[in-house]
Amino acid sequence: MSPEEAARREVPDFPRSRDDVVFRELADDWVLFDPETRRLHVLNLTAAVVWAHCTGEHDVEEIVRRVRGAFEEPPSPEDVRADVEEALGTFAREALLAPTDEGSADR
Amino acid sequence: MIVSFGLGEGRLAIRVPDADLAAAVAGLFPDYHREGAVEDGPAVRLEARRTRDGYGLRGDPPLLGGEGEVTVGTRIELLTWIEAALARGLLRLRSGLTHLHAAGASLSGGGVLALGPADAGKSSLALAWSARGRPLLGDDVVLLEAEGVALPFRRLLRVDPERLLEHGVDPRTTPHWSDAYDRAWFDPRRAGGWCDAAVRPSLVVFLDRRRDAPVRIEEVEPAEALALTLSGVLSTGASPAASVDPIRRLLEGARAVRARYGASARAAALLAELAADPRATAEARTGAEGRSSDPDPTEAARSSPGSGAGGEGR
Repeated sequence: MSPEEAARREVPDFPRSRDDVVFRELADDWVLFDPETRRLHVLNLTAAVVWAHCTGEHDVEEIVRRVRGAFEEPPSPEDVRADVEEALGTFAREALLAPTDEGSADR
Repeated sequence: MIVSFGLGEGRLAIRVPDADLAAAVAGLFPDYHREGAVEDGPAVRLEARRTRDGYGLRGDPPLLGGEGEVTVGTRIELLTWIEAALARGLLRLRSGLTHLHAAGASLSGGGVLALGPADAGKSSLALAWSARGRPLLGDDVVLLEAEGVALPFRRLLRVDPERLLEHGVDPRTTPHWSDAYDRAWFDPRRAGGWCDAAVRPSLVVFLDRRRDAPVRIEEVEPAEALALTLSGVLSTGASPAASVDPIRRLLEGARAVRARYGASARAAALLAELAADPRATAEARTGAEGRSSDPDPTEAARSSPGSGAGGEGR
């Protein structure tokens, strides 16, 4: 991976999902389909909530707060932060997020 | 001479040099052949001609595997090229639908789709179903509508002549076969015929041929079933992204299984078992209807106490 590619795959300050990635509920799972790689990614519920908040309008702190708020019996802030960062890292590594310049364009 | 075909509102035609070849070409897609004189025009997208050493076929490169023109030595080779080109052209007339690389047949009250790569046994399975009187959806391509119901693509089956003999059919009596050719074309109208309406599949089978593996049928989880079905989306139809929802609806109403097998004799037994009594392994799962295409996992999270994070790639 080139340095440019690695930089592109870092988690943006305001993560935004790529417009062309298909996000659907399927039975008990949540799935993302990347039409570029033709790969299907299966998300657990927390990762699905994180994805739903990758709108380019929220920074990581806000996403953590919103994910905690989504659960009736929320885990500890530390656990939620770890889960959110893990999910965002996976999204970035799999190039499922919009590039940084594109991701910050709407703010 | 011009031989014309139609599928839906679309038309596709080929110019051929003589009446004998015209009759043979018309027989490649008997259900889509349209009688009557056809004027030269944009529907004529292929032209076959004689050459000093055999035959030439030219036309739209997408219909000829990217080639503008191909030359072949024998009539059976020419018909094989024409059949493939016409299949691509006819499929493009229905490019708004999802095209699945699958065999399929109608059952009482539902249907079955079998997906797998080339040589996974799709045509043999379709032949087994047809020989047992099941109307076919296809042996290599099945069309899928937005609601997840299947439509037939009426293409002659290209099968091993020995396989035809196993089902009591003399390959010499099938259209377009020669001793020098390793495949015979079988017309399902001689047996179970074609589905004449949309079919809602109740069973989706992923064919998995492995050397020396015992015959085994196992359940496939919905996400894996979606991934496997998406991998069978052909480029002639709707894109994989546009096919996600039709396939979800298909899988919501169907049981998904993997059929593993190794030796061909065991494979034949499995195929015959599935063909003879597919309902025995096809208990329809109750599918949720009217799911939103814009899901909100936050609602689900409210009733769930925490969950580990991270995405799992497949």
